[in-house]
Order: sequence, then C-alpha cells, then structure tokens
Amino acid sequence: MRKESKGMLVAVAGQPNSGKSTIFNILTGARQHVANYPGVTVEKKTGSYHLKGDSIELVDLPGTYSLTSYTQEERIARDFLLDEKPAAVVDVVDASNLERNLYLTFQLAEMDIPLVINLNMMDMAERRGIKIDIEKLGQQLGASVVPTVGNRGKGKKELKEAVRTTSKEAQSNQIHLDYGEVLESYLSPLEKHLSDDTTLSASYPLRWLAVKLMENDTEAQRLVKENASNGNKILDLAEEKRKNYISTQKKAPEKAIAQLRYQAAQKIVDASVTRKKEIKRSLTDRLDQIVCNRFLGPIILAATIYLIYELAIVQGYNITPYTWPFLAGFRDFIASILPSEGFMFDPFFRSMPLWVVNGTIAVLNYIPIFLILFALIAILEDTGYMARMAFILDRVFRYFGLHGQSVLPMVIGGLYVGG
Amino acid sequence: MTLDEMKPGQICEIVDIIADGILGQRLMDMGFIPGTSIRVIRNAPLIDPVELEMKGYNVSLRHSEAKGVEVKTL
Repeated sequence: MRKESKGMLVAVAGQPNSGKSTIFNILTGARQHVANYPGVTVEKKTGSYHLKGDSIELVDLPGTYSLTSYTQEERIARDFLLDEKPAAVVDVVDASNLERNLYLTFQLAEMDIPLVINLNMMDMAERRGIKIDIEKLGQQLGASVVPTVGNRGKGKKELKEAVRTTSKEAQSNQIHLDYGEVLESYLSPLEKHLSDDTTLSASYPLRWLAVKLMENDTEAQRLVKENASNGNKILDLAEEKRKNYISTQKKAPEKAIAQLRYQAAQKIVDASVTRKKEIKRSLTDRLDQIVCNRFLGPIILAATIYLIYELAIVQGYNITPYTWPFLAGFRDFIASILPSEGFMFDPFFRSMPLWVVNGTIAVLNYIPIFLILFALIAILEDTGYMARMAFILDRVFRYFGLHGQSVLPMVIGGLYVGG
Repeated sequence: MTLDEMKPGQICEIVDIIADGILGQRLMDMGFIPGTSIRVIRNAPLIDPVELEMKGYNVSLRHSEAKGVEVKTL
C-alpha cells in the first residue's frame, strides 16, 4: 500500500504556446483536478504522480511571457511561487524559440526556486533547422535540462525522474544573472537594506525583491510596505535609487533590466545553438503569402467557414436519420421496462424517467454534428490556420471591441446559430 | 521614426521603446529590445495588424502598438 504522505509541491511554468499543458498532462495522466485560483476566473489545474516511493503534486501555472505584476496571470504565477514556495519549478521552454523563453527562465531563477528546464517541442526545432547542444545549455544555465516532444510523450520518463531528484535535493539553482557593473551597484546596497529586515529576509527572495523595486513593481512595493518594519524607509531608498539611475543613465531601470535579460539569453543561445537553413519555413512563408493575401485571404477565409458549415451542420444533419433509430430504440427499451401506462395519467415512475430519456436523446441527436465540427476545428488549430484567421479578422473584431483571438468562439457560435 | 511607419519588406533596427507602462513592458517581454532587427512581413487585408519577424519568430502587432517602438531603417 502507498504511504499517504503529502507529496512534494512542484509548479509547471512556461510561456504561452510552449506546450505547457501537454507536458502537464503527460506528467500527471488522468489524475487531475480543475478549479479556479481563489477569487479569479483563471483556471488552476492540479495533478500528481508517484515515482520510486515519492509523490509529486503538480500545479499548472498560467502561461506568461514575463513575471511582472501587470496582468492577472502574471500576478497569480508569481504569488503562487512566493507564497506556496514549491520544492521545484518545471520551466517548459519552446526549443524553437529558446531566446524568448529563457527571458522567463531568468525571472523564475531569480525567485530562488530549484528549476528543471524542460526543452519541449524538440521535433519542431529540428524541423526548423535548430540544433541545441543540451549538455552545453545545461552547463551554461547551471540547471538540469530535459528535452521532450510533449505531444508524442518522448522524454516523459526522464522528465519525471529529473523533477523528482531536483525537488528532493531542494538545491537552489545555479542560474545567476549578472546585470552588469552599473545596475549591480544599485542592486546590492538595496538587497543589503532588505536583508536587515528579518520578516522580509525570512519570507522573500531578496535579490528578486531588489530587482523588482528597481523595476518600480507596484506589487513588490506593497509586499515591502506590508511586511517590513520600516517599509517606508526602504521604499524611499528604492525610489531615490531609481531616480538616481534615471538621471545618470538616461534610461528607465526596467528597460535596462529587460535588455540585460535578453542579452544573457542571447549569449547562451549563441553558445549552445547551431542553425541550419530552414526548409520547412519557406513552404509556410509561401502558403502565408496566399492565405494572408489582401484579396485572396478574405475569400479563402469565407470559403473555409462555408466549408465547415456545409460539412458539420448540413452533412452532419444528414447523418442524424441514420443515428436516430438507435436513440429511439433506446427510448423504447427504457419505456418497455418502466411501469405500464395508466388509463388517464401515466404513473410518476414512468413519466419522470421518460422525460429524462427524451431530453437526453434530444441532445445526443446532435452528436454527429459536434463530432465533425470539433474534428474540423482541431484541423484548423493544428495547421495554424486559426492564427491566420485571427490575423485577418482582428480589425473586424476590434470594431466590436473584441480581439482577433475571439475567432474560435465566434466561428463555433456563428456556425451553430446558423445551423 | 516608429515601427508603424515601416512598409512590408523593409528591415529596421529597434532604437528605443517609447511606450511605457504595460504596453512598453509587454513589448520588451516579447523581445522588442534596442539593437534587435525587425523585418516587416505584411499587413493584414484590413491593414491592421502588421506581421513582423524578429529573433527567428513571427509576431503580429496592431499599428497603434507598433507606434511605441522607435526604429531606424537598415
């Protein structure tokens, strides 16, 4: 029997479109719970897996490009790391977009939590002629790097093992981003001041806090104000340092910090990545020239939507005469085992179940339509045409105060109402 | 000169991010960093948004957002 101990808490972080959900799914399998983060409508998925007697509790953080406090998703991801202090973070990285993804990696590392770098979508990177020296990347970063192809389950075993060992060892990561002489001369005295406060130094990674104060991060300022005994004094000092930096460097510190993170990411990419000429890319480019063309684009778009309508709604409806007899047969079968009809009124134990059955099969009758519709939408999504639809329609949607990303609900809703 | 004035096919280099607040931060997070070169690929059929290529990936911006990026032509 399994020992019922509370497992080690591990967070899964990553940028949007890094395949984070796929990785979360292959790690946890079917053992998942979906809820919301307290007080907000952002989905929180949790799950677990067991390996060699250890239990790992995984939490899927919202996908974010960065860890500022501007958006709800970023605040949630950040607060989770600060408050729950997970034993490790799996940083899911899109291998074909290494530089931009490492930008987030540095920010995660700054929060002083052991990191497992998961290089995902290795097949995509390979197809785009990007070759990554895994060992070198690991050395450069100072963290364990595990390559995977999430949607084919490749590297799953290695990743599970790496997450287990990293969270067990609980070693803080070796990734240290040097912001350069000038910025460091501002950061280290600030960090020193923060470390004098016992409450702050016990609860928060101080270097991270110092960087955030230099960035003028309002949430970090709130943390200091609420937790430090002389919070206002620290904030005054931070403000003074910021002002001094801006007047001497003629630049906002947050700009310099972002720039240095990207420079560091680029240095690592230059050392560990070799690029071959892309073959796949040119085909995509040529297709884009057609489907995003000023005149052809909208025509192809309209034709695509009409085709979905024709196949899912019209043809799907034509299938229902063949599926309906099965549903009707099921209703007749249920009717036959229920108490027989009354002379004037049906007995309750006959009419009630029949209502339920009738209601259910009325909905199930639409199954052919839904199956075809969702299959077609999956094709649109996987071929990348959905993104092109968003690109073409963004201007139209903005007129209604929506975003190009609204294309999916609009297409489904429009087709369904139309049908 | 700002990025929204660039025509498809042109290549330019980022000089500065003029936008501040959330837009400026988001642009930097996405890799709009001074010194980076950008190729303008195409405008959408209704002009907005504009598709760009930089750092080996493609990104689309509305012209109002691209106005926050100061560039020089290469």
